Amino acid sequence: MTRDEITDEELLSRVQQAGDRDAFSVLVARHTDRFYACAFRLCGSMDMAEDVVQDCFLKLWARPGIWKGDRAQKSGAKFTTWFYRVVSNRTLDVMRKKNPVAASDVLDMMPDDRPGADEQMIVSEEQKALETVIAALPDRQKLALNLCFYEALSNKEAAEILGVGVKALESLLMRAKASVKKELSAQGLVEGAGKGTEKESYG
Amino acid sequence: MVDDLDKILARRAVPQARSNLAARIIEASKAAEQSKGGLRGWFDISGWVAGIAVWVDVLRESLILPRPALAMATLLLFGLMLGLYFGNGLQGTEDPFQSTYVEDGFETGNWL
Repeated sequence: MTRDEITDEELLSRVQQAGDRDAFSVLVARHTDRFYACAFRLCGSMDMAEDVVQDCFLKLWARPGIWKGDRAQKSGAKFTTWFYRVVSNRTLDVMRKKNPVAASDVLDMMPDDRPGADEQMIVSEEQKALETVIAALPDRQKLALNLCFYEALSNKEAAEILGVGVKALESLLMRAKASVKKELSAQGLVEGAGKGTEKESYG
Repeated sequence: MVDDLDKILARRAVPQARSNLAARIIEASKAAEQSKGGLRGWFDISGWVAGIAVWVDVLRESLILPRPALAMATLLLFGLMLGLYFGNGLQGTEDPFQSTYVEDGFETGNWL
């Protein structure tokens, strides 16, 4: 069995029992991008997201006992589900301490491989509005949207991370989408695709 | 409308981390372990020696001074040592009263 085939829980158990650095390295390499994306979608800052993920992993390395492997084994809990909660909580804590990042900061970091100038401008406007609207959502709605829509977790997993029932999660998700839709409609951006076509026809 | 919303939501991008974040985390974990190690990072020790090593680490950490202060303290200490070593030579052997007393004559000497 290669390192890549070993489950996260088994890797963590090796870290706990023998301080296995290789196991820790595999765990970090396997999940850093996923948790960075999760943190970034919550805070909108690359620096903050990187710091949060690094802090969380280093805390896990320093005190691997914070993962209750035995209890998790009994309840069937996964490392990723638990670590999503750790990263999300840490991100929200850091965000409360620091000023939220303006949506324009997020736009500066967007990739440059957009098709055309007009389209890019429209996408940028959409992105800016979307980031602003999502940033304004209550924390739990924001987290529900991120976990279910972007991290593609099941409702059950997302509910577990948020510490609520599945029904409550669905309600949070519905309210989050409704708020986003309402705000984007007010800005005329939900029909943005149609407007974009009009703009393109002018050019 | 909902389709539009989902499309817009799906366009939300996440920029890649600036550098190899995973490698940085692994390196940081090594550094954290080394700095935590102290003497134990240099020598393979165990048993009661390890206990002493912990105390040495604690002492060493409590004695760390900022570098400018450390330099100043070393200089002062060096100066003090020099002063003590050459103390007798610098003090001189003359009685200070002798140097300030001008002797005009045997009976008419005056203090300056």
